[in-house]
Amino acid sequence: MADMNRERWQEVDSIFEAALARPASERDAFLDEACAGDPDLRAEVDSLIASEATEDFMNDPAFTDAARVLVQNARHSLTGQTIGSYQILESLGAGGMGEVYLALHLRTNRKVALKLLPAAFMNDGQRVRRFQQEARTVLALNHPNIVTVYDIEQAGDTHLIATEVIEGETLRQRLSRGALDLAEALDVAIQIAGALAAAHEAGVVHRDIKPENVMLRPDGFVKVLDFGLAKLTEREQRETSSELPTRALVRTDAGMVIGTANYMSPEQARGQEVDARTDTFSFGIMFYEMLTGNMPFSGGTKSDVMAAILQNEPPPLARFLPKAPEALEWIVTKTLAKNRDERYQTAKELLTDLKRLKRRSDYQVEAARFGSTTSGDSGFVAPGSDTATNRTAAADPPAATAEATRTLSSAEYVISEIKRHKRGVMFTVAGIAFLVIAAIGIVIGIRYLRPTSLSQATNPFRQTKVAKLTTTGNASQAAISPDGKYVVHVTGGAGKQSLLLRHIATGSDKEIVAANGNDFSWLTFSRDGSYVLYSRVEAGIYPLFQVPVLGGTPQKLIADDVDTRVSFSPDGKRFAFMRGEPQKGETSLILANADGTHEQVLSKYKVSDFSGNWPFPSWAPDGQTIAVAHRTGNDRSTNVVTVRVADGQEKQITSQQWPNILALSWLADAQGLVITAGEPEATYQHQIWFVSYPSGEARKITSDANNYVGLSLTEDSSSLVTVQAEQAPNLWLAPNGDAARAKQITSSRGDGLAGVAFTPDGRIVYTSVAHGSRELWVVNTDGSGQKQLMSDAKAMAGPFVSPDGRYVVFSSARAGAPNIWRINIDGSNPKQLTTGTHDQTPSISPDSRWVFYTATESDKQRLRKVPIDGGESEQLTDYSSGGALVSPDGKQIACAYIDIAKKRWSIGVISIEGGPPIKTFEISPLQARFQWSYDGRAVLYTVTRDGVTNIWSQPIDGSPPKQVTDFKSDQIFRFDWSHDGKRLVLARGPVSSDVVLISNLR
Amino acid sequence: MTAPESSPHEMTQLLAAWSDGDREALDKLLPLVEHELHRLAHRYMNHERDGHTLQTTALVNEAYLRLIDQREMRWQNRAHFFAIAAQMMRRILIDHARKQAYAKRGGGARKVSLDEVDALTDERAQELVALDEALAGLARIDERKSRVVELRFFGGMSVEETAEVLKISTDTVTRDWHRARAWLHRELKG
Repeated sequence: MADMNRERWQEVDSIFEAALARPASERDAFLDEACAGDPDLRAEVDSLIASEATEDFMNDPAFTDAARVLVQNARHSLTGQTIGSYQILESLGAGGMGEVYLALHLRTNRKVALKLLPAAFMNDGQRVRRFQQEARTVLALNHPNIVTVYDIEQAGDTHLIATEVIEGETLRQRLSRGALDLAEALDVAIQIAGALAAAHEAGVVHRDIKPENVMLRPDGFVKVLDFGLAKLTEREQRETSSELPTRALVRTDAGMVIGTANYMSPEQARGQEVDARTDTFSFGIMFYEMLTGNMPFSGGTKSDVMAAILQNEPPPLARFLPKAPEALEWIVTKTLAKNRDERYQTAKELLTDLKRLKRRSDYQVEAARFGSTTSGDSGFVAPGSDTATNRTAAADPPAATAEATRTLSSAEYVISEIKRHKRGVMFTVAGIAFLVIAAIGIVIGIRYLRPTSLSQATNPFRQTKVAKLTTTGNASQAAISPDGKYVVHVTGGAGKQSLLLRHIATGSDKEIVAANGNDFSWLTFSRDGSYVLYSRVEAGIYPLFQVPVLGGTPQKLIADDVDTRVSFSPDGKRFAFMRGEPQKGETSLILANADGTHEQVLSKYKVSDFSGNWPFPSWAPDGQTIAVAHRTGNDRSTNVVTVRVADGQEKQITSQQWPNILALSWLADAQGLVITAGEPEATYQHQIWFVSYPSGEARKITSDANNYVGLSLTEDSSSLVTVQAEQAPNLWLAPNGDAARAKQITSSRGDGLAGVAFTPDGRIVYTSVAHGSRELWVVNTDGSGQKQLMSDAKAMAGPFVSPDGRYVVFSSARAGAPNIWRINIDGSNPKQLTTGTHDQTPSISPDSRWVFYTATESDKQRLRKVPIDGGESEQLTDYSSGGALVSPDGKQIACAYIDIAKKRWSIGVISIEGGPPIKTFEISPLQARFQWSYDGRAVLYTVTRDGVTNIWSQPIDGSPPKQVTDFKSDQIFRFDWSHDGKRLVLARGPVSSDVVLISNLR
Repeated sequence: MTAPESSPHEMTQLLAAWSDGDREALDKLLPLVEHELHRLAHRYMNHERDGHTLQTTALVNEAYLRLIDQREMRWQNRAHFFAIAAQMMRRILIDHARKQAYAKRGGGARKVSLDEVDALTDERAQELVALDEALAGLARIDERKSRVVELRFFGGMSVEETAEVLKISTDTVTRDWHRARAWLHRELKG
């Protein structure tokens, strides 16, 4: 119709107008008449009438577009101009507040992100000064997740803020593409929380946490912008509304797009004072959005959103994330509590929980980057965490699934001379030692070591990746198939264990051996990957089984005990394992054919050679030697040695020493071994190391917050699986042992793990690993008055307070071998009381004159006593026994001993003079801690069932035991009653273990 | 921050001159109005963090209140000012849309920078360019209707304001609007 002229249009238009003025029903008749003889005219008008009926055309006026364009143009209008000391290079867009430009600082030539704050924001001098003060505070923090502020300057009526230039996108931009996956969201959240924690500790509240204020750099760093800046606008916005007559119109427009109201806290919505917890709430909204792609509080208008923030509970995460870990929901809920007293009180607590969750969640992170972004971790917490019996991957005979006994408490020093079944319990004891070692963890910070001086050839772990394969918290042992495609693992609590095969690529699990009440140990794949071999207790014996990898009928290969994982020879025709021979005080390294026949003893060791270590054999790739770890030297440190298959000759291959080694495995190219070993600080933390061969140089593969136990490598050594075990008790006080009234009194995680004891005046002495090594602390029962008693007590365990309140005794390796030490109750005047090769588990008689303890020599474990003022010690028993505790009347001793007839550890009562047990109880000290009741009428001991520990009482008169406490969750690691018997202190907390895949090893 | 500066008095004189038929006055007025609109947009941006909440009527109203000396104002001046503003808004918008559509066709690299969501979607930019061209066509055969569309659609004015500028009745504005809309729709879709 472009050729239509003005006159023709007027004709068309007038008929069109007239038609429109008529009801639709009359139009046809009208048009028939009006356009008679001119079909073009009729067609023209008809088409206009049809178009007129199109309702949505031009309903969206262009003036809003024009306004947006104006704004965008305005942003670019400053380009090339000089403002203050800066030349504007280009617009970077609108940041959190005001527009941001890329600018050049003219004196330094430094490129900065320059934010222009209009004078209106800065006309309150006091406010500006406060802002500048905060900016300087934030500047001083120099936190990697807080944008660096270079300068604040005033140019005319404009205030300039120059900050570092950050490449990348805002979280808002990232969110426009949808939700983040869990690992990504956690990574971002942890960095934001880290920024908040640092700022809050410096007294700066952000006040305007939202996705627009979070930058994501391509290298994974997250930067939080504009700390404290929002403070400048808080009042200003009110002033603006009265100043501008049109302001109200804008504000009340129902169609307006919601701005920052979306991330407002309830207290902000109410106009109340904000504090650090306000940021936590805004963070929670943002975190929720990151996880789900949805807002937790939504509404059509600003006031609807504010109403939702004040009144509504957000939809559960599970609605969007059906597989969200419970802990995640817990964290989100806690950040979004309407009452700020119910929120995380500090961002640091939030950070700790997030980090812990991250460790528990599936993640795939390049080790180096992971290290650089999460260093500084200093604690862990267990929000809603699973409970499970504590187990380790490598070391876990079922009898040992609960806890070390008081007897066996000082984990790495545990010695036993009789095997756990038939002839004793040796391996079980060692296993328990590991459990304790494995379990006592402190977080030092995730920091994968930078490559050291090792050459590239011997330093193959640069690009290591870590991925958690399970998140149940009760996956206790694992082995990876030679081809790296499958991981077999044990899942379920003691007595409920089954064997699952995980297909790594798909994440699917298949049960290959069902639970039958008997527990598993020593998983490994056959050399060709077609069978899984394992040991499974049957009537006290640990035979070796194999089952087809996809399930089937298990076949018993060796009917006698197999006390370690088997390690196959390179040709797969034979395997090596260890078997304890407790009657002889010996352990044998045995070779057998792959079908279990033709056992051959290669070498024999004393029990003490392995105390605290699993004698975990690994057959070298050349077939000539088998590596084992055992103790050498007087200080009881552990080394890796090779045993020649031809003649059993030993050779030490590294000069590096560890407190203990849990597992070891040769690399396929014989360039070295991978081991899991205890931290030198004896924090009970275990990391994975690489030991180069033949040079013997040792270097950490992991150096992080986790505790790794167990080890299984693929055939090409490109990947390994391990188990990450966590145990983080705090002290709890339960009046009269009443679980319902129990209160947590410390929060350092790991408190009391190596011992807790009441003083006569009602304070509590306990071990702590909060500062990276074991220390002795004291605290009041209300949690106040925390004070360090002693810091330099290596491997300290088992503090016991003298009944007269003068001394604390404990075992420590502070002078070399573990011995019994005494300090004054105020921590002063340390005195070494014993000089044996390995003394532990001290206790003091009621008259405060004698210290009873467990002394271990090469293959014997005996009770001894020594005067509290020092002097000659005396032996009390001539059979395997330990963990003596004197009854309140001073006449008897309760202790753990090995019942030869029943082939297991029991608890017995003996005379104060020593000699054989007078009374025995069917309580396994391997699974329990025990103590006299304060009236001396019963022995109290712990029982762990389904991952929950409670205290039971066994009357000395032999009547049936009774349950004393009624906790519904978590495990108890240590306990002590106050001297008046009215208060119970517990080292109590959750336990978890999960399978971790470490890949890209080579 | 270099901008033509003018006093409200000067602006008012120019507006009066233009409404009295002085075409040169318009040439002087346009940059002043444009600058003022940009300045205001700038301020709105700072308060609202993005352009979404901007209302052109509010913007233009405010520009008018700031640019024009209220004591010297004749009531017609306001209408004329709005007409200028609407024209300005249309020009700014279509310039932008054209550039965007051009860039989209490969005519130039468009910079996407921090937090910068385009003011227009590509689809919207193309639609606006086409509409502008169609409106130019309408102006050739029916200038009044094209001005109704310009004032209402690009200037964001109400029916009453449009009637005031064009010195026609509100009924006429409404009827013109409907018929112009139908015509434009048919031009674009047909």
